[in-house]
Amino acid sequence: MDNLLQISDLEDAELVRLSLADPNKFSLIINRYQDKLARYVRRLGAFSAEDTEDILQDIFLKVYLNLNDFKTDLKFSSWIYRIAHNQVISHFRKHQVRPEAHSSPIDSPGFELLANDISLDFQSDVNLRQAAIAAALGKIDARYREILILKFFEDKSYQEISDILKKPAGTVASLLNRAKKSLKNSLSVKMAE
Amino acid sequence: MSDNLEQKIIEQIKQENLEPTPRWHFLLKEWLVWSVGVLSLLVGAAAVSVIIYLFRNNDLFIYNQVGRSFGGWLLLSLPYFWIFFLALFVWLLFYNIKHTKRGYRYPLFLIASFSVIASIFLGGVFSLFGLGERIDDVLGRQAPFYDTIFNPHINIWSHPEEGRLSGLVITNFDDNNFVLVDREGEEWAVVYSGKNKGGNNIIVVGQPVRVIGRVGGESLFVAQKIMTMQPGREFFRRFKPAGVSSLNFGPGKVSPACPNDKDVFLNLLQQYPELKQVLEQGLLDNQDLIREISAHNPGFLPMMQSWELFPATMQIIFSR
Repeated sequence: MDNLLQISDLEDAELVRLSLADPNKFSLIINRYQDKLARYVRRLGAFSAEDTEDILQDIFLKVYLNLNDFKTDLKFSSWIYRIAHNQVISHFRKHQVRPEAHSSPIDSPGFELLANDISLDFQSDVNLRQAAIAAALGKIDARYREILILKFFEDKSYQEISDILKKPAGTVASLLNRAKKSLKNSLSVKMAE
Repeated sequence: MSDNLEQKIIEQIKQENLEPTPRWHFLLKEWLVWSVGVLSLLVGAAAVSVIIYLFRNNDLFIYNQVGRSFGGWLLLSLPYFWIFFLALFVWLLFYNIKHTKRGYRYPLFLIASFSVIASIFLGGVFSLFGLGERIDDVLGRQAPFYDTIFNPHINIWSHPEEGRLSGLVITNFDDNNFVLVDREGEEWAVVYSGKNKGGNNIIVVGQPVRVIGRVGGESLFVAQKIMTMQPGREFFRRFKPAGVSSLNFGPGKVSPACPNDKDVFLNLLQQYPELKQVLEQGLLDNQDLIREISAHNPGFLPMMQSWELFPATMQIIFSR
């Protein structure tokens, strides 16, 4: 029990150091990020469980092979999310598909955060509102969708999003602004229908 | 998702003997990006120093003397190759800064502005140390297609039919009359009677000059203005006849290329009657000056008489 507590207290950078010394310790990193990344991957592309697992396996192998490229001036979570993001994009390219729809647990707090942020008041029923947002997210430009997911569903700061997407913080801010407008338009069209 | 993903990945790592890519690999990649960036900055700055050198010697304000508008003359003399070269290396610098580990954090316009300003600033510093001049000299001596690609001035000043001639002085009879060889290897007798020369002692055997004027006959060019040639001066030395060194063979000195200036001059007058005509007219137009020269140089008149040059004209001048 003490050992488990100690491991959960370890910083990501320390886990990287341990993994470089002993490949078995890499399981600690997998353990810590497996669920978060699985959610992120599904949100980006609504993959099946099998696809998600395959993508996750590729992500973690890539992380392992590039462990020496990680530098502590960047947050490890930003670094691993960047690899995950690139892996999903490369999966889309490889299979020549576009993300089909947005997929998040319907009770995800991200929906309400997003609804509040864009001042959405058209739907009083929470479930219906969240379903409408999920459908609209699936329709907007992929660049807008990924930035909204990082901000409202993965709860990342501007600097973290900048490091994940490798874009300047100013560009992230303006992309986010445009993404919210695009989502709102998409929802308005849906309501008009 | 299966619960044993963690186990599957660790097993795959062990089975395939996968190992993290060594740190030096990433350091080398980063070092390469920075090195190409620094190299691009240096090459771009060198291009700027050549552009500055070409521009400083552009003689932009003689456009009316060559019958052009300011804009037309400017467009004609822009160093397009070097501007393209600069743009290419500024872009390479921009690209490499953007692809450094933290390059993405800076806005594109900031990186682009930095690339342009850094190249121009460093190019200005290089220019102070004469780098542009040296690059132009080296290319002028050795580079193929120098006159068509690297230096637009050579082309501009190689149109005698439009009043612009340039070439290497191979014989000078005095301060105003000389023979030059142009880039086609053609020899021109240049005669000049005015005072519109860009500096003293610019007509020196072995040195290139630019001349504004008009074609006065076959291989005869009547000059209105004579100027030194800076960018491209080494290019014309490619046409240096054997024996002509870049030493200063001033008036009265003997050129190794022309051991007997008098004979060459007399032959030229025979070969080009137009030259003789122009010289005679020049003497008549400057009678006062000729008399003054003769008064101060007692040997002048006997020399002209012994050379049997323009006896009738000399008689007219000195009969007054």
